[in-house]
Amino acid sequence: MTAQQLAFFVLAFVAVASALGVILFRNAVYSMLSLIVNLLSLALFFLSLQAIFVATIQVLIYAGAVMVLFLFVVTMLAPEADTNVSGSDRLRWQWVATAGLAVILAGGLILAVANGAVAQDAKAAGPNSLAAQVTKVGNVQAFGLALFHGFSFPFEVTSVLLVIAVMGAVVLSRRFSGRERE
Amino acid sequence: MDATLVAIIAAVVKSAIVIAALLTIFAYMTLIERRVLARFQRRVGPNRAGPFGLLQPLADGMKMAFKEQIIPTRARRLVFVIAPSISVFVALAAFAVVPLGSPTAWGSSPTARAWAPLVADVNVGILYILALSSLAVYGIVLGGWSSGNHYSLLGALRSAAQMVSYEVSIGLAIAGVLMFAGTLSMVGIVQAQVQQGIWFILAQPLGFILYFIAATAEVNRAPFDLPEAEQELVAGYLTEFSGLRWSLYQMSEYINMITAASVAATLFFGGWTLGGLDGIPGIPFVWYTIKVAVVLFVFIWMRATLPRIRYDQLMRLGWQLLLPLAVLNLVVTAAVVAFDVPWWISTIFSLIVLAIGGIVYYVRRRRVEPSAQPSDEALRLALPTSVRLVRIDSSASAATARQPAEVSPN
Repeated sequence: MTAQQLAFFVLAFVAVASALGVILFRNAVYSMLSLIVNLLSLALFFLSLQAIFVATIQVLIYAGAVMVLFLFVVTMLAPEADTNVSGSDRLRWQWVATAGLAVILAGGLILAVANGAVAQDAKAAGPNSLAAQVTKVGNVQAFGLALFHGFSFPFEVTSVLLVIAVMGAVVLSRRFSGRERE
Repeated sequence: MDATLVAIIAAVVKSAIVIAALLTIFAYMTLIERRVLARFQRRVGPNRAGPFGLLQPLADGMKMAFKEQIIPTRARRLVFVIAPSISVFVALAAFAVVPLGSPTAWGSSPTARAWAPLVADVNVGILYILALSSLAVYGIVLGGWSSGNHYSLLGALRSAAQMVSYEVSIGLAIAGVLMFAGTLSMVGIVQAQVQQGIWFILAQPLGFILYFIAATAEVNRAPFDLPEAEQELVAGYLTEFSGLRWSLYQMSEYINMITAASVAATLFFGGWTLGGLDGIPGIPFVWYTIKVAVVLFVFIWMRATLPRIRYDQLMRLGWQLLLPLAVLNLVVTAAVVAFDVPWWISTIFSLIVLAIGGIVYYVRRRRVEPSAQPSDEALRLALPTSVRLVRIDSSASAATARQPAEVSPN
């Protein structure tokens, strides 16, 4: 086993274990800590794929900014024992649905890996591939070129979507003061 | 020897050196800060342990090591024990990409370059520092939450809100420099300053001031040390920590301060370069140290001079002043870089903005009515308006004293 494979399996174990922790912990803060560990291990995955820019952004945005807000809300709203979820699980049929979907997902992944669809994809490894471009112009430059030339339309559409989300949040939080004025 | 093996060995050795050096510098920073603060306050400061108090950090360290480390009964033990280590780990790791000298001086072969004076020459260096400093908040928030104490929790929440607010301003303030440099690499930014023949503080005075204010808030230093405001929150998130765990938090604060100063020196003051002398061995490190020391001194100076600001002032400053100014700076810098006009255009713009800020500040101070200005006849001094709220008027009778206090216009 090469060092890269070893790193992959260690990371994979951490990622899966922390992902399980997110849904299995009874305490919301511990769930969130597992999610942070999960996001950090994903960042390390990106790093092991030489995508250092994406890895850094993953830490900066998800582990650093988004999760801090989550932590803020959870610790502020329920600082004491209320963060513990107790009682029996009422949605028992979810276990069945989960098991079925998990089998389908695992089957699809195994099929994809067995067919070598991921490894032999010409786009992933050819001379004009993204990987070759990245080594030629550098990580950040390749990312920027792809984002602002190749994918500029989806990028702009996403920004509009985010603006809509922000406006929605403002409208929702202002609803009560608006009624008072009427 | 294999180049990869050399790189790994070099990284381990350099990390060990950096960690040992940072811990030593932290110990002496506490002494320097206490001595400098003492001078500001016309005291002598600690001078008993060894010549000039040079053994004081050692004595403090011994004291801390032998103190009892209390874990409160209501604390969540695991998180409580881990939280200080998270702070220190993140603070130490962030320093890895700071260049203490030119890597090109170490030759071009990979084995020689592996020993260049920085732990990792990452091509997204500045983003790496931002990413790790955004993780620094976890040590504080988890420490405050796990203490099982309301003051600790309040301090932790303040810290989370403060760091999230000022992170945005830091990123945007730095972006101006990144546009001029055209790279995210710390080494590349210094080399760009050499190539263009200027320090970026000349092109980005506004960017520097915004960065400096936001960085002070980000490392929780006075006047932004609200998470540990002792008049309001006992000691904030630090309340329940004692002994070595307490000193771990102090350690991370000082190391974060050194990293913030290093980023300022690298981005705005040309890093290890000055006057073309950086070819001589040892000189780059001296320049770097001097620049960082000056910035650190300003941090201490601010702590000695400025009173802590209120929480609402903190939020208003971050979101309503720093953020819009940072965006404005970003737009103007983008125009300067895109249309390829000389760099001093952005300098003039920055100076105009700073001048307008100065005028607004002066006018607002003057607008306070002279009659509303309380004065002390004995001292023949006009006192600040805030004094009126707390001053006990000796001529007033007991009945009028019970009236609700008059609120000042500000």
